[in-house]
Amino acid sequence: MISLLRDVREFGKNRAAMMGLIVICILIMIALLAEVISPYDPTKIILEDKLQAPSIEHIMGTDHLGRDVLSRIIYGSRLTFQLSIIVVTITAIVGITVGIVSGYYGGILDEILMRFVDILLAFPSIILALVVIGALGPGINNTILAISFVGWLSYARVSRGSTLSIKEKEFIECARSIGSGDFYIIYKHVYPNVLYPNIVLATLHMGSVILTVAALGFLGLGAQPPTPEWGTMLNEGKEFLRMCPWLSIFPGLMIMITVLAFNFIGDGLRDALDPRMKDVVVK
Amino acid sequence: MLRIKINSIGIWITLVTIMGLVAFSGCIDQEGTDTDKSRVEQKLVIAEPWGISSVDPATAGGTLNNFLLLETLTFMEPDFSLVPGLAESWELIDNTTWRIHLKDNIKFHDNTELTADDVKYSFDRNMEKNPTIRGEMGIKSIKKIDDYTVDIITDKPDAAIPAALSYAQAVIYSKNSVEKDGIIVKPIGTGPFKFEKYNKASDILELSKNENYWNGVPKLDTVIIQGGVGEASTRELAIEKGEVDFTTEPPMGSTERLESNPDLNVIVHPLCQGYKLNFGNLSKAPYDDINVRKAIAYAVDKESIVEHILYERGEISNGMGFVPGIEWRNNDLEGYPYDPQKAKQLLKEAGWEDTDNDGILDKDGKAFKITLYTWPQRPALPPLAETVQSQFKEIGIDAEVRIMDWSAITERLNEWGAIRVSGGATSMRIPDPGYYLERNFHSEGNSNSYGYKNEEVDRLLEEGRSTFDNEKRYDIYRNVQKIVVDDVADVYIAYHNLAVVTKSGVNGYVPNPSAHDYRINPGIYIEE
Repeated sequence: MISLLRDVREFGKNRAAMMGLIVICILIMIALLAEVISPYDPTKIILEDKLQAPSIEHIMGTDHLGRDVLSRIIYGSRLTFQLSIIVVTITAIVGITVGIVSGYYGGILDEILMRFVDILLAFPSIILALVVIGALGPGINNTILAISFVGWLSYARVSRGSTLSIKEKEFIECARSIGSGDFYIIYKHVYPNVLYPNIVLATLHMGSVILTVAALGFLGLGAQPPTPEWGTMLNEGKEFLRMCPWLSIFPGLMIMITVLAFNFIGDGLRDALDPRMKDVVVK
Repeated sequence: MLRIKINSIGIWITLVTIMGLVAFSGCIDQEGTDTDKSRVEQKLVIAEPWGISSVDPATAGGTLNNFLLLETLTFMEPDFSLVPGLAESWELIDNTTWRIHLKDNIKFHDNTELTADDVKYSFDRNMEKNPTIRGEMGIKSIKKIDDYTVDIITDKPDAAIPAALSYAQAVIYSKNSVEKDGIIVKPIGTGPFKFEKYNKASDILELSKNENYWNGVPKLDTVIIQGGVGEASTRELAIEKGEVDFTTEPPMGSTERLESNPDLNVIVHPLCQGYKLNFGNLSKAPYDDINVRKAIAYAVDKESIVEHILYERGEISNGMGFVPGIEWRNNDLEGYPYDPQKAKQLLKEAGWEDTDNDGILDKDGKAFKITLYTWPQRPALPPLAETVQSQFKEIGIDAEVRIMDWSAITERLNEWGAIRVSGGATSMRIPDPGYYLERNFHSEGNSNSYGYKNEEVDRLLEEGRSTFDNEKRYDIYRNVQKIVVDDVADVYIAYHNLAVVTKSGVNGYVPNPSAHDYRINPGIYIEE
């Protein structure tokens, strides 16, 4: 408990991380309250109002189909957070489970699982995601699948490493000597110790998932129209970049701010939780 | 100590020299082009949206024809009239034989004479290497009669042959064309421009003036075509920065901005292409009901699509793919003007009603939820699909838009309620009514993937093919157009107008709406 308080204080001292946390809290509020705060229906097409520059009525202007860009950004933040939280949850659960099982039991199982992870790690993750989407077709659900397919690898790696070092500790041996089962030991002793580095990883992973979702959307493989999604909006705005730059600038800014905020939080968490863990690699 | 100093000075001198050279070479380059401009070099650089990828006439005939390297036996004029090309005249010998008389003064780029042997060689080779050509033209074989006469023998009586001979793929080239491993790498043709070189890696084709062209010497000295500039905004940037002299299809919204640029000319002209909705399967629910099809046709606001999605680079259609001015067009058709009330009424008659008040129509427990498929390469298509989606919503049809590859769409058209939002549907690759109508509306037509079958239409189309009197023929085809539009076999939204952007110094471009998508002409010249 005391150590947790110390960690929180440590985190609070990190200005960038606190900034990041505030930004993310605001964005999450925006996403939750989308219906209340968004001035217009984000999918309502009014062709007569197309390509209007930012004004009092439309703070961020309108897009090529006369939809309000601000409303689309607000609803886009909801989709972005939903997607990235789902992906991070799925990948963390799968990755941590695989990592712990692999590290704890070792032997041939470890060998098979880790070689599989190695093979997948050898590909650039965006390429693998493209392959998965190519096979399944574009869409939100397939985007989740595609990103999750490659996202769990780092969790497995990190969890396995921590498990390996923890399972040699005396308290594990003690537990085993008094007759505790594998499941009990993993749940009570290994899992809590593995969680910390994974929390840092998950925060940094949020940023990279948001970026990948946007990249897939930009390539036209993510959310399908008229769903408001930042990457898709960038793609639609690209056509009008010279005339109506606001179509691309605002979604681009949002992506940048969100990813930056998550990275600041992740860095802060890492420094607060474990000063030695400065070089966790996020795929 | 001293030595080290000298060394570091040496390095500095070398660096400065290199930088100077680099900077200077840029200057020299710049000046070079400037002086070239001042004596008005007759050179046209084109940014072409599609990849060239080959110069073998059997596969790239259309491209080589558009850039005036190779020619066809008959030509299609911009006013849709058919005129003699390499052929002097043609006559019908019997029901399945057309006799073609060649012009006798035509020389290839290598100064050899064009004879019947070359014509036979070209046709045989084209049809062997590219079965599509045989399929489109319906030619069985070619027979040499004498040096300047060939007979074209068809499978069935075919009145469309003279028009089919102007098909951009049916190009004529010399049998001396340089072949490597069965592929022609240096085509020798008869056109106003000669082949210079083609770089496959950079997809750049270079042509030079043919001083001995049989129909007047072209004004340009060189034509350089950069193929595969697929991104509309890339082409726009290239023409604005002056890297190219001629390009087509800048982004839809940019027309006005480019028009206001004094250094550029924007020409928007009709093209025999358009945008339409293709039903996935006409023999299955919900589209087996003609009232549903009609409702969908009435639900699309064509006027606002032309204004806001096509930015006036288009015109509302009469429900058929033929643009005004084509002789065999049925000008009495009105199509289906925007009328959401009528659409709702028709859907109600067809049994579709919103019984559970969720805003979506349903019938026998099935909600009217459909998918609109389209592809991203034509920039107007995705926004067009989204607009149609929102217009469908108004009449209670819940549509989802999916943007994917053309080939992936084909597999999904059998899903319940699938509709393909299509662009580039061309009606004039062969300037004959049979080409477009048979492909799309004959029960065995190549493009009839949606299963449209009307025995009357089949019978009329076959009758049209074998009727040699043009007036009678065109009447038959006008009748077909009426039946097809009444049947709502598809929903033709708008014709597509092509935007050509040139530097203001480029003069003499004459648009040819029958080309696919554009054809340069020998009269183009550069002026300061």
